[in-house]
Amino acid sequence: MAALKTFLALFVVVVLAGCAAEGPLHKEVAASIPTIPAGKGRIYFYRADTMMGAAVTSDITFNGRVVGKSERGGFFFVDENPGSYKASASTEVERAVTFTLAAGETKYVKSSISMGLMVGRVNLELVSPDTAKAEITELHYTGAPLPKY
Amino acid sequence: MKFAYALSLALVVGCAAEVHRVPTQFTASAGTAVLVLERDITVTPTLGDPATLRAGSTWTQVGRVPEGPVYAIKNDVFMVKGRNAHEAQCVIADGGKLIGFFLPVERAFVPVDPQVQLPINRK
Repeated sequence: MAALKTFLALFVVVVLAGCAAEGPLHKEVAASIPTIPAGKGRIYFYRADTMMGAAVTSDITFNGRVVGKSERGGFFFVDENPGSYKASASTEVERAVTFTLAAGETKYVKSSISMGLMVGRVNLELVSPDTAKAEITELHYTGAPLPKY
Repeated sequence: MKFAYALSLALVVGCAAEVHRVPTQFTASAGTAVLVLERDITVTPTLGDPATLRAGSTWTQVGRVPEGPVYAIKNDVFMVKGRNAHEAQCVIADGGKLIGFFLPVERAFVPVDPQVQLPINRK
């Protein structure tokens, strides 16, 4: 019985560890993150490193184009022209957030997991810059390779 | 009995309502009106989740819809949520009454019921 418990505990740890984002920490790449290109805005996508729905992942689409994944403890960013945007993620249902982006502006979209019928759902919301900057510090960069990193 | 339980669970978990909204016409303006909220106010759209306007938040007039002047939050974000989340701006009548929200992406008006008198300082 003890062996079974140990096996199950190890199994859970391995499964959950396998679901966490991999990549350098924000503090390791912060200096390599380029400034926003002229005439564009930037959107950060991130998910806190919490156990709620740890195994749930989803592609994140941005105006219909896949730009990355919602993974526990991960962040990435995209630079886009000013305009109106819809970011969405889906597991058993799709959830979306709509927002505008201005030139030189930075917006932050946080994903979190809520209970679903069969599988957790990935919810997206805008977060204030102060909150987001504090939360991203300990997360792993999962985006495209950075120029100087 | 099991079916009823499953159906109830499905309704509770799966059927969040989308924010009720109607199309509207937005006209941008370089208005200089600035409002500062004196205390937290929670309002509920006619269909959607309650939204809280935070004490100390600053709102700048950015335009107008037929329903009234439109104010955007400064240095922060504000959303209304139902099934999905939408960046939103406040439609505040001249007397300081919040009559609804404007969704800039959807170009739509979200009424609040009842309308709420906001505790504001005009700057």
